[in-house]
Amino acid sequence: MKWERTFEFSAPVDEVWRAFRDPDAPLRVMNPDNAYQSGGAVAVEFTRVEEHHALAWTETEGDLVWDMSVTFTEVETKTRITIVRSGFGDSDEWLMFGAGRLLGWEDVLADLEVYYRTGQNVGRLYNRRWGRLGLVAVADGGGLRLMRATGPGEAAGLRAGDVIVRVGGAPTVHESDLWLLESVLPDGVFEVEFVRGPGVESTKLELLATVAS
Amino acid sequence: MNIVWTKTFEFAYSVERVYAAYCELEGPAEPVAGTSFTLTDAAGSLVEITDVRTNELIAYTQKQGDDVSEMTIAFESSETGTRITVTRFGFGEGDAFEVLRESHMLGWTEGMQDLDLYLRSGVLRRRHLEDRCATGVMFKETHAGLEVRGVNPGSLGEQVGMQRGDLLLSIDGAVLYGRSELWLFQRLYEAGREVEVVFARNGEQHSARGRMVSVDLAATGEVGLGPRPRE
Repeated sequence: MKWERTFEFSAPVDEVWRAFRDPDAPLRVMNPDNAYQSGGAVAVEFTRVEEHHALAWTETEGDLVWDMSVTFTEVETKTRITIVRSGFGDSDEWLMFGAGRLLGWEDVLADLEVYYRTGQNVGRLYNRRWGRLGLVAVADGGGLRLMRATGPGEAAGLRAGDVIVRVGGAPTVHESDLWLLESVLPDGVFEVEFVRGPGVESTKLELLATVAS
Repeated sequence: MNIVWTKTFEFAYSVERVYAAYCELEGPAEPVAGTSFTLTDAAGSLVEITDVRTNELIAYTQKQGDDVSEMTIAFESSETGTRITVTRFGFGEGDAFEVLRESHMLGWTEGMQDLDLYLRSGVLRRRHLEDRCATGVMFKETHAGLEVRGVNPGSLGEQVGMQRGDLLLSIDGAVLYGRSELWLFQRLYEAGREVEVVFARNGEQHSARGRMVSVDLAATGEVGLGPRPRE
């Protein structure tokens, strides 16, 4: 499985390079030796470091291993980077980590571009109120297919394989929907509609104030 | 006409089944070339079916105000079942054209998920037709996030002082990166709901409160422009 994205930044190559490599850069997208804030156990081993040109590393988290590579190209006054993430796996766990991390990369790089355009370090990705729903899902099966239910999600009787079609009255379609809902919904009890067999089922989920790790 | 966008969608069912379900959802149940009808979208688009080949292709022109486009929906067998290729043809330039292109493609992506849900579970949910309110701001997706390209009079954007070029950062403390997240708010909240909006301009973050407005005040591309059911 391979994922490839190209991004353009309103900054010269050396500045974008610093965001990846310089501990003193005003805004960083990863630590030079510690990948990024992942909540823990990601081991990173760099396999290629060519200043202002290319970067590659291997990420290991439990049984899951990925290769990442980033190439930097100057385009007039801007910088184009291409990120490739590749690895082997088709397990649900692999899919789950893959989907979340990719979305995370897109968000972090979007924050970097906001910084180059406005000088604002908005840190949007890290301002999310993660984990309040206790639902981890990927866009599949016509909706958000649950990969894992913990805490409030598990207590509501939801389980892996359920397709979530509505939370708190809002229809759910995109992978980012649950992230946004758990950021914006107040504490309280919300209806979750899901598909398990034929027809739609419904359950009540109590949204927690505290944020699970 | 030029290709405005094209996208493929995979389904784990036979072509016959996918084609029938598509017609059932989007209508007409038995499409016939040369017939026309009006959609229930905000713009009251006029659709004229131009070509039908059962289990292979449906083509139509869609007139929405001054905007005229051609759509083809092609069905073919794939390794995993059926592949639908949706292609939009047309001409245009400028902000409104670009924004409509993005919005239309996202609307179709959601519509195809509704189709997949229907095929898998028999559940018919038109999730991308559930907008209950709008911002009244024309946003263009950029790598940095949603950038303001136009602000309607009386809109949320006008209330909070948004201008062309501003970057939307969050609504009610929840961060946004793209159009799909904005659409979620339009389906979660009702018109008249007060929200806190944060946006970036010239190196500063601005925060202001305003009210979501009715979908009648929706800006170009703000509500899903994917397939809509007939009246």
